[in-house]
Amino acid sequence: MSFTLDPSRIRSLAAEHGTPLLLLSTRTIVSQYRTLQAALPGVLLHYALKPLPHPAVVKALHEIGAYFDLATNGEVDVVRAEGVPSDKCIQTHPIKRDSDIRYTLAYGCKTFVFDNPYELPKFLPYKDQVELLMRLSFRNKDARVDLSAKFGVQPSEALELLRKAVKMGLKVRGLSFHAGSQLMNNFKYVEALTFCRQLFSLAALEGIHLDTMDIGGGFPVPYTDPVMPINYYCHPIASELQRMFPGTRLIAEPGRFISAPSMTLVCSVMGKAERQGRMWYYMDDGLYGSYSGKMYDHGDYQFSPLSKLEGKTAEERLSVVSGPTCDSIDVVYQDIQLPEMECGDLCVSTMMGAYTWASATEFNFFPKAKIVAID
Amino acid sequence: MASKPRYIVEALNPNFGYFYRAGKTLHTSKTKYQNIEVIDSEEFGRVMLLDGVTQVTSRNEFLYHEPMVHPALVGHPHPTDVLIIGAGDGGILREVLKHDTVERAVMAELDGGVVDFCVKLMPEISEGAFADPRTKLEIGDGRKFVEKTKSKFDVVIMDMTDPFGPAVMLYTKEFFTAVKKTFKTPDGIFVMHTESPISRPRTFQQCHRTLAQVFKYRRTFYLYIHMYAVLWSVTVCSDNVDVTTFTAVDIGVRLNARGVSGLKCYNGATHQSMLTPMPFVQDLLDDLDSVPVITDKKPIVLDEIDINSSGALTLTEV
Repeated sequence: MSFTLDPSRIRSLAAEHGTPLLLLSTRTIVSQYRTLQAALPGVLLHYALKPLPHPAVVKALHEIGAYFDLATNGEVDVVRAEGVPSDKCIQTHPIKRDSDIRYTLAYGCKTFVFDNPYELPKFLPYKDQVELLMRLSFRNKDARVDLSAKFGVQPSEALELLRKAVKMGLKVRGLSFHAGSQLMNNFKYVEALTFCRQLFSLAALEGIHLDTMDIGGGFPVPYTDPVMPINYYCHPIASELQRMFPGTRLIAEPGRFISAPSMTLVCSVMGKAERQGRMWYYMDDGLYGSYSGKMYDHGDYQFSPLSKLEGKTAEERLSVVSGPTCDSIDVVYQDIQLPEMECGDLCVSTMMGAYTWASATEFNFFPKAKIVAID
Repeated sequence: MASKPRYIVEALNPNFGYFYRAGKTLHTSKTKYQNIEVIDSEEFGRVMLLDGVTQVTSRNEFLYHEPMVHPALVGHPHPTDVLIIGAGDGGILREVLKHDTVERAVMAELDGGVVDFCVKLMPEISEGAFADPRTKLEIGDGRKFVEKTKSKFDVVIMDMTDPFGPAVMLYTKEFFTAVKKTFKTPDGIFVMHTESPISRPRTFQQCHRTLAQVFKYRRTFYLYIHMYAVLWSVTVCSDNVDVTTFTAVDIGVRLNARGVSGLKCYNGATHQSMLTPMPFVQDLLDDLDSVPVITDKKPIVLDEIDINSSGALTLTEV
């Protein structure tokens, strides 16, 4: 397990704040943003708040001039509280209530997304203010999370929907898509981009001139397996953008890539038992808490006793790592080799920044892990 | 007495050509327009000849069909409608249909007899492409089809016999202009073979001078084609797409995105290498003003090309 935090510092932070504890490195947030920016030159990176909508993250990114992608009024509140100018934000939830549109417009953010004809009339009262992106669906079985199953107009119906929006007097500025999340194959972006380029051309022939291309997010990070370095991964995407979309406003909505490596979870053993030849360890965090990504994000995270990171070796045996709640589904690892641990021993999981704390619940009144910024 | 071996001679100009040894003749026939023959050969496997001139071989045919198709289709952002002019053997069609963006491949072939013959006797060339529901076969004159059609295309591929005789009217400025009018968007791409800068340098220049009248970008792929036995050229033309802007990785990724795999000649690296003109070829391209544009009124090509109308020379003894 790659690890940069000093184990002794983890011990003292755990002693100071208690566990479960999420250690947040905003320096990592900033370096991830800059790394992706270097790989996608000319693309306005809008940090998608949803995987980690934490004020400290927004603050750190705002300080380096980042843009933001919002989906809900709650996320509007977070960026507004940090003083982010509204023209640096887009609202990309394809389905909205009137109150959501009003709230976002009141903040000053004007860019919205639609993907179906039922959404269009909602914009009519605000048609002099809103600027729209049409989201397309490109199905992707290769992504960990296929974000085109739930949202996006089918490519074959896209031109018709675009015509309809324009005919209603709405200002459509461009297209967006989500190739997937934690997507290992970069060619899905190219497939989507080449289709969008054709749509730009066909629309232009009808006098509909689009000037914005939003390529979504989905950039992969290494959880348990290595991934292609991001500059290699993005090379063909950047190349296609430069070739096919000159003079176009380019947007990306990275969330996981920025946030996933930024947090490390520290949790402790609450209790232990031996059942059917295996050791069971009951941790103070589980599937209803920071490991919620195992349920909702199909996530898999590395897990290690802190003692192991300190270089202590001991005989390992097949063990089960369980969450603290009464629900029998709350098991984090079924078959994991671990040294014998005692109550109160600390364990860590890295790469716990995305879709962990954000989707954690307080089921059984076990509180969510506390986030502490460490740099 | 053992029968004397038969040699097929392919003349590239009056002074140069090559030969190969023919095996058994499998079939001879006559269509409405031409004599067709299918023979076996040690060098090329099964071979189809039209009026005695080698047209397609079962061995190494990919050396021609892949570069005629993939640079143009990969270059287009999203080719759904493709027009193929000529190419009755189906090799071009087969390669076109490998791109999963393609929804409709229209093939305008003058001689329906060639299609029937090839489907029956050289099915390994078309690999069932004529039965693909995306294929639409239009038997008739290619030029008339282009001038009359109301359909719009993303890529137009012309796989013609050489620019003398009747086919010369498919090498004129007027025809290229008509092709461009069939483009669906400004990203439309036209591809054709543009002769050999070695054995027919003036014709090569004339093709380029003429294409330059009509298209902003002309990007030529230089390739060795076994059945031509000389350096040959294929030129990809467009007003918007410049295929020299693709890196090797870009090409690989686009092929991947389209579901194209298993190619034998074309990939990202060969895309780059084939696009590189030797300096003497660049000199020819820099000197296009020395040759005339090919027009409907003056459809002449300058190289003395001696492809006889009755077929290639056949040597009975060497």
